[in-house]
Amino acid sequence: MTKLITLLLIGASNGLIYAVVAIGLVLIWRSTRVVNFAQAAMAMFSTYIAASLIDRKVPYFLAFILAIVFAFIMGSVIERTLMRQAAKGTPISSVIVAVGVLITLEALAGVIWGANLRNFPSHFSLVEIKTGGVKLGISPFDIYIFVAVLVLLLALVYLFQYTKLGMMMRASAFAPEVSRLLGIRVGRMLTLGWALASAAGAVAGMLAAPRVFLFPNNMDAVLVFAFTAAIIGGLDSPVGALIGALVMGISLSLIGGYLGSDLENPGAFVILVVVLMARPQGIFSSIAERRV
Amino acid sequence: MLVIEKLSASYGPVKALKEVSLKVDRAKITAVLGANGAGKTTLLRTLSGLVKATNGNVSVDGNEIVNKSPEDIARCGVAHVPEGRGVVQEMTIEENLRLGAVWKRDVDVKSKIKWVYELFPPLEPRAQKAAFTLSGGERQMLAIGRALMAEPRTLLLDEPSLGLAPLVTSNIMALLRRLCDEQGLSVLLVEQNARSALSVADDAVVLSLGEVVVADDAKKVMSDSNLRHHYLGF
Repeated sequence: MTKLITLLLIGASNGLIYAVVAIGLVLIWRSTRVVNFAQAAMAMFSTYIAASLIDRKVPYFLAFILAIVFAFIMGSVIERTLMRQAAKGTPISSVIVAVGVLITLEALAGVIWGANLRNFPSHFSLVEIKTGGVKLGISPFDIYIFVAVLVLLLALVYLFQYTKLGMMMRASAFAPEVSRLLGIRVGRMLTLGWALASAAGAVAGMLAAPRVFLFPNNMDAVLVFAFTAAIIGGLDSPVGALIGALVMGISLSLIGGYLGSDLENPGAFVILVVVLMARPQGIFSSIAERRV
Repeated sequence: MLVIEKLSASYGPVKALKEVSLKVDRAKITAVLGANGAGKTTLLRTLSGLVKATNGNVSVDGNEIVNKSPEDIARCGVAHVPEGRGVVQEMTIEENLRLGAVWKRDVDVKSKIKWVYELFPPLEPRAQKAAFTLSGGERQMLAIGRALMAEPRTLLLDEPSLGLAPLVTSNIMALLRRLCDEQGLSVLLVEQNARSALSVADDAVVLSLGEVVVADDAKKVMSDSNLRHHYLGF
């Protein structure tokens, strides 16, 4: 019983990290209809920036914020230079360019920081909290993940639902041509979408790295899990992505705990294939109601 | 005031507009009529910057707008209500209205929204509903109301009567006339439904294969049965 509870809690905490990556994928998919396969590599690169800063004695939280700022700028630059050009071609060009960005960033990280595994500080203890000799199944770091992801999600909800800027971003994603006719600078909204997705990725990278360690393709598996989560959620629903990510995190934790950790990655693919076969539009997609 | 001089546009090798010239004065409605494929929609899309002009000049209230971006043209006071109504279906009625003036700093959004609800009473009780729940006529009201939010000087309307019941169409046409007179708007009204467009327009232009073939007073076009049979099919 305690094993089950522990696995559920670990799964939920991993799921929240997948959720942040998945929401990054959703942000970009909604506004450009591109699956950003470079999302994980961008997150990895920003995490290395944070690691380098921490190595140079920059305090953890300052490095955390600086890495987010770096990711924001990197996302804008990639959209403005590469993706904007790729969008002029066929839909597949954008996907190929995104994969190109993925390979380039991973290679570049290898050149700059080496391909070896390295530690990334967690700042909070990874050891389970005990009260009166009973293990609670969660560590202070899990609580930190929960709080950080919650703050990030609330900030995004606030931005999209309660600000003028968020309203313009949503309109640009749903109806780009109409938005331009209303005087909204849709190009800037796309850049901002990439910047935000990249910044969210940086948060995910820094939360994931203490457990998965840091190396140039440390986030590849996370991308697969997050992509599956986003598909479960229908690719265009942030709430769907969050729920999909929790489902993924908990399923993989249960598979790993009861069937063996070797089966986690194949398990993710099985879930992806089953979802795509049974309900390709996802479970929370708004496409059905759009066809009214 | 909208002045179009020798405006041309192409889709690849196909010339969709050939040296179109016309003028819409302040507080006047010009109807643009013609068959399918005559270039009516292309004319509006070129005016609002969605299609690049290959030649010609367009000015609104003295500002040159030809080949500016759609965003900049909208900010020059030109509002384009596209065919198929172009409301953002996933957003609420009120959000759609707020979008209409989202770039404008000096507009009192609350009182403007109230004014639009007075113009189109069916919208108010649905304010917090997603726009896809509206009927065709209500969507048209929302699209026009949203265009008015930014206090435009020039209104470009693409087939506002498409798919609407005759009574709804005549209400919308009457309202257009009122707005035009009260607000001093210049309206370019593209219509397949020539009869209802001519009933409110001051002037009429007939396009055929991208060229202006008739430009005259709307009443004269209405009373010229030869012309009506030849180009307008009624």
